[in-house]
Amino acid sequence: MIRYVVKRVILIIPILLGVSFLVFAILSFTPGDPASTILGNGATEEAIKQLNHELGYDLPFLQRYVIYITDIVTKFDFGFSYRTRLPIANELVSRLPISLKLASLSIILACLIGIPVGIMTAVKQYTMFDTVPTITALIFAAFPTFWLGMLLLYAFSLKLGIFPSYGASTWVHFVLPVIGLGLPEAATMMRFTRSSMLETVRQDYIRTARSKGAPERSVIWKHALKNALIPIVTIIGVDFAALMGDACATEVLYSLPGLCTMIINGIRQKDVPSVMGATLLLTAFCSLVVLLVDIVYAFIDPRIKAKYSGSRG
Amino acid sequence: MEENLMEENLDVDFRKQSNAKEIWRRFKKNRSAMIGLVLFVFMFAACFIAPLFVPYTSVTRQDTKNKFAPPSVAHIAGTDNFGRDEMARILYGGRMTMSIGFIAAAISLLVGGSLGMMASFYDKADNLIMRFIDILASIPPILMALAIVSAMGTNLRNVVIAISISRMPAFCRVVRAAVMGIVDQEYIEAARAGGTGDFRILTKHVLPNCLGTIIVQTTMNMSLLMLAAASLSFIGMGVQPPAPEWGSMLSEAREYMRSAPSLMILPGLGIVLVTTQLNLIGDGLRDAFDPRLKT
Repeated sequence: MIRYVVKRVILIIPILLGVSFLVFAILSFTPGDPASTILGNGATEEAIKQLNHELGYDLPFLQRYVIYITDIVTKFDFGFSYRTRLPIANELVSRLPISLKLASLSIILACLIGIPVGIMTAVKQYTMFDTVPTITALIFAAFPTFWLGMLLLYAFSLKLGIFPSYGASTWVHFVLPVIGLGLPEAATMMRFTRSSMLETVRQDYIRTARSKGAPERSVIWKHALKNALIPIVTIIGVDFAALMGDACATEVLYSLPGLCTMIINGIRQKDVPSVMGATLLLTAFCSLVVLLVDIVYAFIDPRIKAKYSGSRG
Repeated sequence: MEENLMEENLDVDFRKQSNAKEIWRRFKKNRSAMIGLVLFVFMFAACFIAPLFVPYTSVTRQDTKNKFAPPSVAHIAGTDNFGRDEMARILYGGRMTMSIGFIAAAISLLVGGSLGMMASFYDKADNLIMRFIDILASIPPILMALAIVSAMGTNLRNVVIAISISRMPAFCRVVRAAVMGIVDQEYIEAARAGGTGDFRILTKHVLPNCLGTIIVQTTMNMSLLMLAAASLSFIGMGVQPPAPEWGSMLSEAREYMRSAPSLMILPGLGIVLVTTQLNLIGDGLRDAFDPRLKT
């Protein structure tokens, strides 16, 4: 088991390096050079050249990449913003909790609604308790998070005045964004739980459980649910990672100072280090979440456990 | 030899036809899929025939005296913040959103699908391609699209390229898995033993057999790509105003939420309806292609 965990953790390193290289390469195509962006239009050519040299911009591409990554790994130094001249790392640290809070609360909401309702629809297939939630979920799964967010904002913020429409200082500020981001996700989760549960119910071991006379309640809750939940855990991880990115529109809509708004502001102001730092940090977090879920998966799925504990675990 | 060839062709044609008919028969029996298809054809037609009835000028023509007008005979859905006809903008906006979705899905399928096919067909390429795809898949699609748009600039072409690349891993993995299941089959071995070239095996024997998976996957991803295009436009990194697009229309409507809340209804409804329809069609196709998977 430990061997599996170590193997997975080691495998994440080349992925993170690859991701950072890819992002670095894409963003290096950004037109213009840092010094012209920093100094503005009035600067002389020499001054620009001088500053570019100081920033190490005249070095070859690969060398710049290696320096960038080494600085991040050894000193947690993401460079400094072209606009504010402040270190990127400080801004990242202050913004990361907001993005994490938004994504994790949304996925928790999605699980709390999606999984129980999904189980109910599968158990009561072809009854009203199946069709009504299934149709609702079909429509909600198609909702763009920003449109749902706008409707919520209009109803609960502008008309009823219950929740604030922007900012992130208290938990009340997170209610609408989390609902807007979480509900479409809950619909997706419900659809997945339903099909996973229906798939499991048709397996031979369920028939065996029924035929040996196990009560229906124990067949559903013990035999079926335990097996159906295994693939759902994977989906939770993958979707959590996707939510961190999908939160972009939500962060913009509610003016939440998270990492996505940092990326968007960075793009608007041609502040490449901001865009790069925030993108890398978000992506690294997504990879870590997926890794964590894979490890959890190995602990709850006896098949993987058996495979690795056979030889020195 | 010639006779043999003819026989083979006949055989293939016959099978292909009956197979397509069978799939269509199963699809027709699926009520929700048919509702989705009919509604989708209707909305698609409305948006794409629009230029015949509504000139593009009514999309951009501003009428500042007639801002936020309620629905009337001249403007069926009223007017927006610049006094432009809302209905014309919805129709042309739908054209834009759907076109981006379709074109991006086609590019994503072509590039991702070919990579997936190569990975499953050539063992040596497999590791290389799949590790690259793993890396690509680790970047959340929207962030990937944002990075590309940020480096290349926000215009229509770059938006399409950006969202196509961001969904490539999904296509690549699905096609690879589908081809993997076929490459081991005996008829592929037979074809290879008979001296058929790789290209011919891929196009004549492998591709037709994983067509179902590909079609279903493309339909499902089309709705995701449309949502991605709309999100990008909503945050101001996609289609730029004044060109109408459902996402950018919502972004404009957001600024006038207080004075003209009705502006945010139609574009959002358009996205939800088309996405739902595509999902219904995709579900229906999946069940029609492979009844065993039916839930």
